[in-house]
Amino acid sequence: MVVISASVCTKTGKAILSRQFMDMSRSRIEGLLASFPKLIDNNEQHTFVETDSVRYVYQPLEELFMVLITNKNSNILQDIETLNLFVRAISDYCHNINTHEIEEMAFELSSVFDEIVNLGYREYVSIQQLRTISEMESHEEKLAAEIEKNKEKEAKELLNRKAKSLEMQRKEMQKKMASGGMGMGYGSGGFGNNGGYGNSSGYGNNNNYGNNGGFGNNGGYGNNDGYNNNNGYGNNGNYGNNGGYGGFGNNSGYNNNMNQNNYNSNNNNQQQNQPFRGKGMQLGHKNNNNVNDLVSQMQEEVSNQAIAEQMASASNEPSTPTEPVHAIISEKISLAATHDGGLENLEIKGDMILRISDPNSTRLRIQLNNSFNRNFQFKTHPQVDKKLFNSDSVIALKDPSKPFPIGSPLGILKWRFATRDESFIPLSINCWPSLAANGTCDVNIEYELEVPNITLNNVSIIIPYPGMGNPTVGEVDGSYNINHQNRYIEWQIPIIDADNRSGSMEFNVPGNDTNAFFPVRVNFTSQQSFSNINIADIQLVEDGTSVSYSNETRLMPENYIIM
Amino acid sequence: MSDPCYTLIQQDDDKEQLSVQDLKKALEHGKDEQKIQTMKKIITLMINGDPCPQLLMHVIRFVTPSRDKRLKKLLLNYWEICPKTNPDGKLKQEMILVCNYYKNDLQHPNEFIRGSTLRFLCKLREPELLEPLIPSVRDCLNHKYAYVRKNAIFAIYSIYKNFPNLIPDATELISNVLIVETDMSCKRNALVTLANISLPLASEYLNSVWSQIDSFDESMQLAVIEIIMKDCRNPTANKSKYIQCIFSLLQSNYASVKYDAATTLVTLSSHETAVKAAASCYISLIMKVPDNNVKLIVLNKLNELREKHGRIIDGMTMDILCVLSSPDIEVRRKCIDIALEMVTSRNVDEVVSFLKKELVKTHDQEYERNTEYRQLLIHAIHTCAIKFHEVAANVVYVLMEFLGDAHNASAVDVIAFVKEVLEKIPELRSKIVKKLMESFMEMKTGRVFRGALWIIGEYCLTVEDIEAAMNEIRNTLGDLPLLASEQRSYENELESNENKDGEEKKSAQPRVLADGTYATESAFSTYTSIKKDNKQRPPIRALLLKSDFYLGSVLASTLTKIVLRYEELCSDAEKINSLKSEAMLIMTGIVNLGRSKFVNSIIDEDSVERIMTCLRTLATSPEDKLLKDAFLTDSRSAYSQLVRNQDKKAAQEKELNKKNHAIQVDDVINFSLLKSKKNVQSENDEIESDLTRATGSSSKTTKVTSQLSRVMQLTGFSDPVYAEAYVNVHQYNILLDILIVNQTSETLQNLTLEFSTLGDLKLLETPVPHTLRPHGFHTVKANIKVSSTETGVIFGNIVYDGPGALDTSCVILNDIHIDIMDYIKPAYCTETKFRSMWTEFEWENKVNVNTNITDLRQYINHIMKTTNMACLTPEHALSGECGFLGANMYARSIFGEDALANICLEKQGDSIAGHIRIRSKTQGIALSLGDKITLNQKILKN
Repeated sequence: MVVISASVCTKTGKAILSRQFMDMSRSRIEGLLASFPKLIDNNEQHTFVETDSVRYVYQPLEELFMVLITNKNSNILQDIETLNLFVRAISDYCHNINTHEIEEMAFELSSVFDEIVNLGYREYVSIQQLRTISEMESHEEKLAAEIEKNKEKEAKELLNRKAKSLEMQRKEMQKKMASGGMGMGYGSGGFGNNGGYGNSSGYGNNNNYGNNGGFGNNGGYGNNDGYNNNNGYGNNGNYGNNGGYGGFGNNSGYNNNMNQNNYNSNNNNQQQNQPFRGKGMQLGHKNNNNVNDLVSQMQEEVSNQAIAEQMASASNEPSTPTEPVHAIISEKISLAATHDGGLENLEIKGDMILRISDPNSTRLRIQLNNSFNRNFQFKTHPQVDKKLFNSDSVIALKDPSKPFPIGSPLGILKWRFATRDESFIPLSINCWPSLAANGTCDVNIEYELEVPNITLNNVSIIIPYPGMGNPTVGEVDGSYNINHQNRYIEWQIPIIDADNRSGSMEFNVPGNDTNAFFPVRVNFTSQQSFSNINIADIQLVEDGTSVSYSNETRLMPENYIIM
Repeated sequence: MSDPCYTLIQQDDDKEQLSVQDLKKALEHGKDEQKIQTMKKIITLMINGDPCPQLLMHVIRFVTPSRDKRLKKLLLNYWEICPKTNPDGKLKQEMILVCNYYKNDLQHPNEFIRGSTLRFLCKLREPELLEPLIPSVRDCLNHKYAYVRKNAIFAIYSIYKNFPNLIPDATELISNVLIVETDMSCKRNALVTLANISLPLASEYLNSVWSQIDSFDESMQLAVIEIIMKDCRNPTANKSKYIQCIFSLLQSNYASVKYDAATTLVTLSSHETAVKAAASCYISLIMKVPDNNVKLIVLNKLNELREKHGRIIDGMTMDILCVLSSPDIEVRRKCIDIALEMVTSRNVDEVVSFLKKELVKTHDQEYERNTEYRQLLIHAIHTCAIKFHEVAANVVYVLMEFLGDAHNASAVDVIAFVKEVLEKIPELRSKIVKKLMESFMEMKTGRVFRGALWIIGEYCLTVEDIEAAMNEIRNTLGDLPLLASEQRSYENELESNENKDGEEKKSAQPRVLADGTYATESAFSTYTSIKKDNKQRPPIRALLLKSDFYLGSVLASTLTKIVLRYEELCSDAEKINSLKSEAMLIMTGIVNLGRSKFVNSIIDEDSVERIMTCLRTLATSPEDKLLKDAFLTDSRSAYSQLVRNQDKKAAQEKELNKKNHAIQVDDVINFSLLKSKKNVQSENDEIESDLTRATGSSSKTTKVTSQLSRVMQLTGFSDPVYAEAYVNVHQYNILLDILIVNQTSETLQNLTLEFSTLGDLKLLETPVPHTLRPHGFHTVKANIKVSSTETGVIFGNIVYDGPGALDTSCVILNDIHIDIMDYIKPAYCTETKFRSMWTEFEWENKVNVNTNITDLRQYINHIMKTTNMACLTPEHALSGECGFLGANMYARSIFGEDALANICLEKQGDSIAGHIRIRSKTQGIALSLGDKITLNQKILKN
């Protein structure tokens, strides 16, 4: 039951294209094909010949032959069917079957041959399926590309925001400098193209791969991180040329250095156009005045989303004056709901990060307000006194004599909440496509804020649409933006809060696949947390006096999808 | 064995060949579209023998980052053929990068890219590359899409097959997949995999799904059969369950399943019911499937079954004959062949009556190649009747209806049959002779008449018969004397032409041609009009006028015979004399006619001689006893001896066949019931070996000593580089195993072995340079493709860089001559085929015999031995000693080329004179065979 080879050969037995499905030597297959034309008799009404070792089943294709070589025990009934499929596939790909055309299409045909017979076994496929397979159009891939694009966009937005914040900080610093010689040094950082896919820089230009922390040092190529990391091998080339969003660095390490009142005045554009060189990214690295040096430190892209987001969070609230003790509460929400209202999964992850820059206020007790949601699962830093937290909602170190570390941010509390209860959905989206008479779809989409005590900013709802036509948007609350290239509509609502809980949009698009409007994605930012955790007070352990502190809270969706 | 080859793509020689530098450039700067074109060019180059190792890094740098799917597919093709190891067998550094690329593709969101990458992994043979990919492959087993899963299963299969230690738990993995999987094609792949890597688990799975097998789809059912086929050798196998399952699969909806089930069934059991079930399944397949290929192959299977199980399926002869409804002559022929083998005394009546019905049908219905079919049927009936005399009487009359058949062969076959029946079954003689005479007028061709006349001459034994026969002969001849009546009718014709007015007259008048001259008209041109009426003439007369004088001579001897016999039987002298004179009149008439202008060509000497002998015999009849015997008894006894000899021969053949079946006293006797595992193994191997034979991977083990005899020294012992080659001739290629020894005390750099060839030989790979340390040695393999039987010469040289940068040294190698005898195999063909090829072939090489052998037979044997040809001339024709010898010889090359030879020898005193003519379609064979013969004659002289 084995097809050994499928070939298209000339009347003289020269193979124009031949694909073998078993291991056999080149001279053997060429010999078999060369002896084939001498074996056949044109007057016969059957189209197979047998030799001592093989059977040829063939079909004339105008000037050529399509030949299957099988072993003699092969199932002829199946082979005939297979042969017919081969012939149909060839005529499907080539308009005129002649030597030239087959040569032209040789590679396409050989991959089609592979689909018909696999390891010698027949695959039961139709011509239609063969087409689909060779076109390789994958829904999954589009989805993945979409996700990636969104991430890129997010990163871009962050960049813009950061640019602004930078400007603000600069001004502020100038003020501070003037007032008391206090200054801040910013570490350099960078974020951008996030790891996983889109390893766009390639293995270019550099011959010393292997030295560069790639596979060798990174725990071998089995290690996923080692590989996806762009740092792996190769000088990552010129980022400015590399598709726009590639590498923008920002000096955002909060290295609060009193003595060094330097800052850098470079802006992003400048950085983008700089060729990167040298070392890996360093968070909170000490900065110096030289712009180029700064740039050189940011040279590698950060492949890790988490870091990028931390960076983003750092710059998220530029207006908040940063006190010697600064706490960041960030939450990420991921949600997958079905379009008929069911909740597949809702997960909220949050953490509290403490950053202390004053060496005098390191031994602290942090009193949380008591209003937070106890349904969440909390996890404290191993050195934090867990009992105290559970009983009094106070975060303090187990050993009161120990200080919190200075300078570097420390995650002291983490929480997580997962549910499938629909009532927890913060923002419900109702996307309702319906078929209209003239082959178009009317889509009504509305949102409603289900948790009244939360305010969402910069909400954007992304609805993909099918087909080639352009959608016409009817009524809309807020603004919208149609991305023709990637075929989605982005509906933007600047703010959603208790006063402004719901809104709707209507649009019409040619097409008849109502499922094509999903998945709908939602992006937003918020300065409130879902868990409602907040810091009530921070005191010094020794004397219980309050220290001045600043805090910021942010909530952002990680993956908010309505399928 | 050399590397497996997965793709062949013809290289377009007309196109300009790009240099490696150009290709690199194209890769560096091109857009995707241009890269695709470049990749295609590179792969075609590589497939055709240039490994392009310099391009690997460029491909990695510039092609792998692309997201274009077509490029991705091309890359898979590229990886298939790209050499992954350095010459020292170690993995290339660059491949580590590629490995990462594989890994990314195995995790690619596009399911088709995943799938095709998995398929590619089946062809990857480097464990170092595979190892890091294993986790991803495993993940793919659980992918959402069946396309990915099914390829993942096969990937695991081939990885496990080659490197079991990489996935030690593959068997469990696959059997788990089998249980959870719902997609049929994935299931099939899993089942096939399991069948190949762990048969017990596969059969365990089968045990759990007996009841569902009927509902499986075609591919699954085939896979189930494959498992049963493999597992049935296992002594612990659940055979009864298997048989039951196969029986139910015989009823499957899929023809291919039925076919495999039937084949498997007979290997599982040789019980009568099983064999019968298989046979009837085959027959129904033949009837139902319209494809001729299928019909023929299934008929072959049926024939195998018949050979193996003999009489069990004889009862189905009639079912097999139903296949005759298929219109293809080849199918019918095969069907009749099988049916004839199965004819027994029990069913012969039925068979013959069926064949008769078919025969009658050929009269009314128009089939394609009707006449051929008719001939086939007549021959079949003939064979039946000879085998079973009792039906002969039944069919002979039916067959004689076909004596008048315009188609030569079938009528001739009938007359030969009638002859044989008459000889073998004396009871039927008088009846048949009567019948024959009735159909005398309907016969058309000379050969049939000759046969019929001979029968009349031999078997008209009574006065009445003879008189009746004479009457018929008169009828078929028409007016006597022949020439005078012909003359008369010609004159009448002319007269009537004269009488007729109009056109006819005009035709007799001189015509004026276009150029103004008178066209002359001779008797010959009017003669054509006489010829036109020949159809209305009595048949024999018409034939005679067409110059069939051989028929005339046969008629003469027949007349002589019946007259002589009449003389013996009848006492009425008057009657005898009138008969005798009439006969003599006819004979002289034939001779006269033959010499007249009415025939196309004048009668030949031999026929005249023969007729004259008959005349003389009749004139002197009563006296010459010797002549009389010669006419009356000798020819018949000669015929009966011929028939007897034929029977004897057939019996001998049968005997011979029987002897082949016989088992020697000291042989092991196999009882199928008591078959041990070991014996069974051999049968199993047969199936396996079928595949290895087909892929050509079976290597014959040759003795070391015989290998040594084929070692050729290529350079001298005092050359700086010594080389010798072992020439290994495979079926379609020559493998040179070359040993190179550095005889100097310096390191030889860039040492390259270059070959070029003469004749139809092609070097498959381009040579790679080596560096050879002082007194070091190295072996190189060179693969040379042979595509036709022709004397080939391989010559070459060794080039290396000397100590200085600029001096290059060169050692020229001895030529290696390829012996065409390795490719020529003795073969047999029928005489007619030989003749037709002889006239068709264009190339002839005539070699004069020049030898010191003195015996003709010895010379022929010598030639046969040296040229590997088979002698077509039968043994008895060669036997005896008369100083002359002629023989035909035939051989076929493994490339399917025919070589014919004809030897004509004459003994002249102590030496042999004569010549050998060799003919072939291509010049190469004729020349090289001729050279071979000339050379060997000379060698023998020394």
